Amino acid sequence: MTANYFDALEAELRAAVPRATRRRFRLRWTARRPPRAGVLLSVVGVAVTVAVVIVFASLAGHQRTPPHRPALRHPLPGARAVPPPPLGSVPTLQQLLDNFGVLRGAGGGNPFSSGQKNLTRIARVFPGGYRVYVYVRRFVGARVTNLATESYALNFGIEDSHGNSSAETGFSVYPISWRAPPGLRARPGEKALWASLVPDGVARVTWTFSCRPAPHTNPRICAGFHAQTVTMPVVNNVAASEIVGLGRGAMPTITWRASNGTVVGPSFGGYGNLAAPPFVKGEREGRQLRVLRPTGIGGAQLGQSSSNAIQTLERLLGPPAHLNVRRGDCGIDHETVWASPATANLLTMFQHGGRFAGYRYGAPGPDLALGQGPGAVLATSAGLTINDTVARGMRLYGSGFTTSRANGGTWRVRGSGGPLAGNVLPMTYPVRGVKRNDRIANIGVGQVGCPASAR
Amino acid sequence: MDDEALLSATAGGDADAFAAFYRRHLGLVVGFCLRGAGDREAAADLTAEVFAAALSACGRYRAQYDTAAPWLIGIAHNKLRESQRRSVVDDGVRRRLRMRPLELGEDDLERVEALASAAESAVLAAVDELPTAEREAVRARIIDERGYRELAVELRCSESVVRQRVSRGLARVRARMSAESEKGGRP
Repeated sequence: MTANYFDALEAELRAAVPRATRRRFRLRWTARRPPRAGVLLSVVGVAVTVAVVIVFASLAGHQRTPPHRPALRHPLPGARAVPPPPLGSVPTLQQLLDNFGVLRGAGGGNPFSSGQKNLTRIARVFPGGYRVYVYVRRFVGARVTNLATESYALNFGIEDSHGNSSAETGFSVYPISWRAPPGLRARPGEKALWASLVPDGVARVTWTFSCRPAPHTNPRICAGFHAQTVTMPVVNNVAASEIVGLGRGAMPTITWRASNGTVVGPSFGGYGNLAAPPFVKGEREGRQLRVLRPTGIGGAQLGQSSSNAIQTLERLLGPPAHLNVRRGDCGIDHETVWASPATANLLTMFQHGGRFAGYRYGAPGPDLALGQGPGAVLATSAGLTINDTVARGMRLYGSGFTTSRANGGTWRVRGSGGPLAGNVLPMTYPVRGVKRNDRIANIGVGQVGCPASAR
Repeated sequence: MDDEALLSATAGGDADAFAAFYRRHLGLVVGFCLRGAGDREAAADLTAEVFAAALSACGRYRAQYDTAAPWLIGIAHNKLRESQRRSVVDDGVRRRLRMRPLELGEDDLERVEALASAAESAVLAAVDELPTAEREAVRARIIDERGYRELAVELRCSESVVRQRVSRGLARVRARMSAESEKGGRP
């Protein structure tokens, strides 16, 4: 590693001066008609004011949305380019096993009732008595509206020496804190354990917490918590550290590094997502079928009897992973699910009263994501599929493509056959509106989040 | 030596002049890039590209003020916006100038923060020295991002008065920063 980046940069700039000044900008400039002095003066005056405003605005950036973090482009020796992560799908069990070595190790106790008995691991034990568990949850026909049938979720929990455990946290690249329950609440300034899940291939994690000033106060005074940077090794797919003085709302920027020091992710700011870094195993490519329509899927039409629709889809995709699973929410009474290797992502066909009532392709909400599996990639007639950007949707559908902040970010296309809609996977945190580089998380018909009820 | 002289000398091939210019404004650019990008690695990468772009364009610099800081921040703003649009930090200028890629170590990342912090302190100190009315207006409008109408109600004056206070306050800060910049030296 270079001892001092900025000294090295100065040396590079010095060396580049002869190359830069050989360009004779002055001659080119004078060859053109010089601008009138008054115009130039006013333009520069405006630019100076704007620049100063920008400086101040950037200094006040604690209170604003952290902008999308650009990925490193100027390649460091040995570093690889970071392609967009494969998002918009729920993981298969095999993907979890492939990408989280802790699950491939020996088992442990299971303090979390919802975890799979043979897929719970004690990942870390800390001197203060904290234990960090990693465990897999499986959802098959459960009455959980935001989790699809055949979803496998990797969760982690923290338990203290008294057996008090954290609530289930879902999986997140953002660290969560564990504090004592109200009766044992930690005093101000006391340490709290923070932890997050990290896939294989990440050796060190850095969290950078920014100071959060209170509104209308001196921005140098951190009201909520102080700026700090914590770097820790990853052990058993868990990055964890005891940190003093952070509130629950602290959300750091995160850097994952491989054992050779290169930055491997996350190159995104996905909110609540254990999005796959580039090295996560799993196929993304597959034949694309443009069959997702407002009126149904391929030859299967909404309103058709469920059995006929399923037969049609079986001819198109192969047999479903789960047939006629009983559900009782959102006006749906049954659902049939195709999963990898039939389809790259989950295709959930909703049934009501023996009829094909709706469908959803992709993750159920904006907060589940991992690599796709092998299988057919389903798309709309125009070619929109999950993991596409909002910008692509706009290009494909023009003004017919609209977005909303509702339900954590949604998109919608209204065509002659009816609406197509879905969730948007936000790429920045905190989420303040849908942005052009956000991703399509799922595609369905009817009202987002409750597809069958609107039809 | 002021910025115009340094850049003019750079355009004539004086590498020491550009090094002095670089050291004078490094903190400002790093601070701007760090706040904009929210990421230390990206801030360091952006800083390198900004100074490379400044070096490329030094022959076109025409001084309107005592300092080239606004010009430099303008370049940084463009680079930042471009990187956000493309989701990558462009390295086109550095490639054109055949500059070698640099590695970042942990110490460098800490230095990014230290440089940014120093620059931020300088600007905030300049704000603190404003007359009370202007300081309140600048803080409320620029730092707290409140609207002119809301401020006019709170300060019991017209919107135009608030605008005037903000404008005058910024002008004073600008002048102060120019003077600081004139002193030069490594941040």
